[in-house]
Amino acid sequence: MTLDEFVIQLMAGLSRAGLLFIVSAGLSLVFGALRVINLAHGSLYMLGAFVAASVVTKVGSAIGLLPAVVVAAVLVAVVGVAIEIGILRRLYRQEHLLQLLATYGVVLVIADVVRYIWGPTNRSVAAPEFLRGSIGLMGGSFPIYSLFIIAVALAAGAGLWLVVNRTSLGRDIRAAIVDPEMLAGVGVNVSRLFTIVFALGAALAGIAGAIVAPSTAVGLGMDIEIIIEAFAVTIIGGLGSITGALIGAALVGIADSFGILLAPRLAVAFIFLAMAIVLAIKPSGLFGLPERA
Amino acid sequence: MKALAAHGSRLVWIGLALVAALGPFFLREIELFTASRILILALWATSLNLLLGQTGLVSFAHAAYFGVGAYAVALVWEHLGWSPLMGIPLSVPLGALLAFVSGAFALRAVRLYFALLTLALSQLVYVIVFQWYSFTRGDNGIHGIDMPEFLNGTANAYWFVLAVMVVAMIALRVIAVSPFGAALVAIRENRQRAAFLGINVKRYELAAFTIAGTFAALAGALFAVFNREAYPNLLFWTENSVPIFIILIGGMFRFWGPLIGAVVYVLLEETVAGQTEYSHFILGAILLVIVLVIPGGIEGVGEKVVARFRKQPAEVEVAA
Amino acid sequence: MKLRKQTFLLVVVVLIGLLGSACNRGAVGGGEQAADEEGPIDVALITDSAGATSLFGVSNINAVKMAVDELNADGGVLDREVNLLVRDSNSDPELGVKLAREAILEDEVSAIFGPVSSAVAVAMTDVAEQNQTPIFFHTSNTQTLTAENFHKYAFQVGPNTTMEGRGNAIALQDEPYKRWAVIAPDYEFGHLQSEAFITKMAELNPDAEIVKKVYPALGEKDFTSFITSILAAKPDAVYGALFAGDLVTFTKQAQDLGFFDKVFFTSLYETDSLSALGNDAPLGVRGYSRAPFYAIDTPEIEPFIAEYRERYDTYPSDWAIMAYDAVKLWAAGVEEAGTVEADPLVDALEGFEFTSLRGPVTIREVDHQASVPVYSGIVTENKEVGFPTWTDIESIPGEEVWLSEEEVTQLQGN
Repeated sequence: MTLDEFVIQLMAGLSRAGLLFIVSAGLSLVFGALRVINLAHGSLYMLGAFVAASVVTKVGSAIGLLPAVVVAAVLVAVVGVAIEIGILRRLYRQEHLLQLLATYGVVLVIADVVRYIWGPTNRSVAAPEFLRGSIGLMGGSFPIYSLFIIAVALAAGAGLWLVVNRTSLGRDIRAAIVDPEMLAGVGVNVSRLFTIVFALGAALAGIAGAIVAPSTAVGLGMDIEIIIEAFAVTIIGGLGSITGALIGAALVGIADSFGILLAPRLAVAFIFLAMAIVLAIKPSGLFGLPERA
Repeated sequence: MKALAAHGSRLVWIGLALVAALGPFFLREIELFTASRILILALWATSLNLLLGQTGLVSFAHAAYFGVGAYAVALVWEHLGWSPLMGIPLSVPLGALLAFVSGAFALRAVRLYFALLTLALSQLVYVIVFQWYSFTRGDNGIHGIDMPEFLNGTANAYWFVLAVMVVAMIALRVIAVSPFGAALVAIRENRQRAAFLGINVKRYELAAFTIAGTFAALAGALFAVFNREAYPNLLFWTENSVPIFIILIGGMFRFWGPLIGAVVYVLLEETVAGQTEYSHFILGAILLVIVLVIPGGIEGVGEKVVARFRKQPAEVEVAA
Repeated sequence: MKLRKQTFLLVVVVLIGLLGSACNRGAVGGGEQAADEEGPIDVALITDSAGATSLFGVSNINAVKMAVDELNADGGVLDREVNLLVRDSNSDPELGVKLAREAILEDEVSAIFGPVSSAVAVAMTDVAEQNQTPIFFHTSNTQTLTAENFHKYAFQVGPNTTMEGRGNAIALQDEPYKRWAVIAPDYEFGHLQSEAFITKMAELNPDAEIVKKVYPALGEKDFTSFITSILAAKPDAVYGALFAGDLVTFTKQAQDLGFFDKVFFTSLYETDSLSALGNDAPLGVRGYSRAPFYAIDTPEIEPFIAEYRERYDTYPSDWAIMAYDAVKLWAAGVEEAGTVEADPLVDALEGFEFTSLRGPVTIREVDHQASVPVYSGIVTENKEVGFPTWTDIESIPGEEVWLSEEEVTQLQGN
């Protein structure tokens, strides 16, 4: 492999990683604070993509992506709030299994709601003119849109870091990750905090869905496809850790990209193998929280 | 008194098995497919419940063992040219071995991380089955397995499935009520205390995991014998929702809960879900209702109804 | 202890109630045998109309409905009305098997028209065999349906994967390219069809070499890594077995990378994909397909196109044309046999000469494969129809590319 091929493949992997990071960060944040593994996170991502497709179709592709991202984030956050208040809040004291099953119920429901609203056919979304085409890179060419995804992921990561580390909301979130009962003891409204965190996670999923829409076909089945990879990322990086999500996403994205080049048929297996190995060595993932007693 | 009650309930189950055995005389052919699906799913879910209800372990690898059992039947026929029935005795040690190895691995973690580790391992098995085209025929799966003469005809195949299933259920029942089963309940109730009482928790959990995987593989083998096919989707992680759903419907703290759950689940699938294009929506909504409203499952509800009727509190029973 | 007994009794009552109701339904469905001789003839279309290939399924449904309506308007088949059941197998083999079984055992259909997905088709053909019900494939075209998994009740009116791959090699043999790469979806159709191309190309043009093969998953959403890895191998030309939603996604992502300026490309650019791509279609690439309406020149096609447009306000895609042919083949066979019964129908159809929308074809005895052609051409703008179509159209007759009878018997006999 020559150097320019290497760089291009690396960039392709990073673009995939960027998308995975936005999705996984939300998943991980929700787990960290609420201790719920949200199987429906992929469904929220799919919802974001379909909403974005509708908005771009309405507004037109020239500027459509910006309102699409905003509308998707808000709308999906609202759905997230409904899920948290309507379902999860009633289950925090129950077994993990019941929480998992409830979110799986949501997966099934959202899949059919999306199918009902948007129909079974794939949709395609046009990117704004200035994000189309490719730029020269080390003698090869690289799609501008992939760079855009990387940029959005970096922005999302920075924003998330600021929220978590530089705001009072972030302080509460960090405290909740360590010990929610203590937080309730000092007078923080934990149940409202949980709703906000879940909405934030949902909004991230919605944004990821919206920005992926122009580069792919928007269709049913996006939910299950992304959730399994997002799980791999989160598990490798460690549940509840944003840094972990970043590292995990980079690893999975790059492994995916080079796996295709080196051993295409085994690329998928690599991810699960990596997941199993990391968990076996460090059961809570690279940066994960240990299981709370 | 207790012995008498146990005797009485045993008679009920024998009666039910006899009714099931008479199925081909009063069911139409298509309904025999439904009935056999109930039997196979009941066995599969009951084996999972040894982990879930009895030991308190959440596993997402159970579909993988089911699928491996089905492929054992398909592959001895496809590659060795043996009678596919040879796959049944083969599925048992195969399921045991796979469950033992992956269980030993996954049990390094606890609870949620354990569940996720089983998910990773089962997806690994899925990917191998899906990708190993020359051996498993990839995503196509293997269809049209030729069964021996005596299994031709839906009724014969149904009887065969019923017979194996009944024997397997009895075996599972014996395990569930044995001292070993009681130790598993103790682990579910309180791991520390169980360890304190001298139970080697990890070893018992691994044994339960292996046994559950073995019976799941047997259920999978029965699936392949009856349906004459095996395909990779059987191993996909979302398939795990089926036995878990069944256990939830039927109630996880009763040995027979999954059997009742399987009847209700399959009939739901056939009636409500079969009538609409949006069957996922209906199943998802039912799942949510069960989780939110009646987490004890249908048997739990039946018990509460009876209890209310008799104006006495429902008896909580731990180990069937 | 009484409590437990109560619960068990409850269970027993429920179970017996359920069995009883099943029993009842059984009795109602009883005296149905006479239906074989008179009354309407039931047939079923079980196809996939969700996901990446949803447009194909919709085309199937439209065309089969139209064909059945035409038959009924002409007085039915054997003077009996034809009653069509339409089911959606949702690209799920398990569901396909269940629906086929229900159609055969419950609705007692006389014939089944098959799905889009070849994985569903392979699962379903086995049910048809077990229940001796004729099944007609038109859109799913994996060769195993006529070779390894062949049975006497299965028929294929589309070109199978071998015919398609070989036909493309013949059409491209005089192109100057030496270094070829292959991209195909990672499932049976993709592997079989692209291998047929590779083998035939090696035979026709020994100078051609395959420098890279990649197999993205069916339904892949991000082809960037695959595209960059193909380009990294510096091929002159790329053979694609991509189609439908995957091809649309691939094309958009490949365009961003300047792929079409760097290499010659061919893939399954048929009517549905080209109309979905619209202005995004890469003009100048070579498309191949199985029945493009504008590539067919028969007396039958013109009225068909006119009526299809009348009914559905759209041009018929390949998947409409082939599904329509499947129904008309079945009807002609039944008229010839004088009965809807499976065995006489099969006897009548073996070696049968049939006028399809694509012209006269024969049903070969050895594998029930119709001698249908494969088409290819250059994707070009077409203002008249409103989406790109082809020019420089070539069609390779089925007899030139199908497996020899020896090859077929060898595959069937394994």
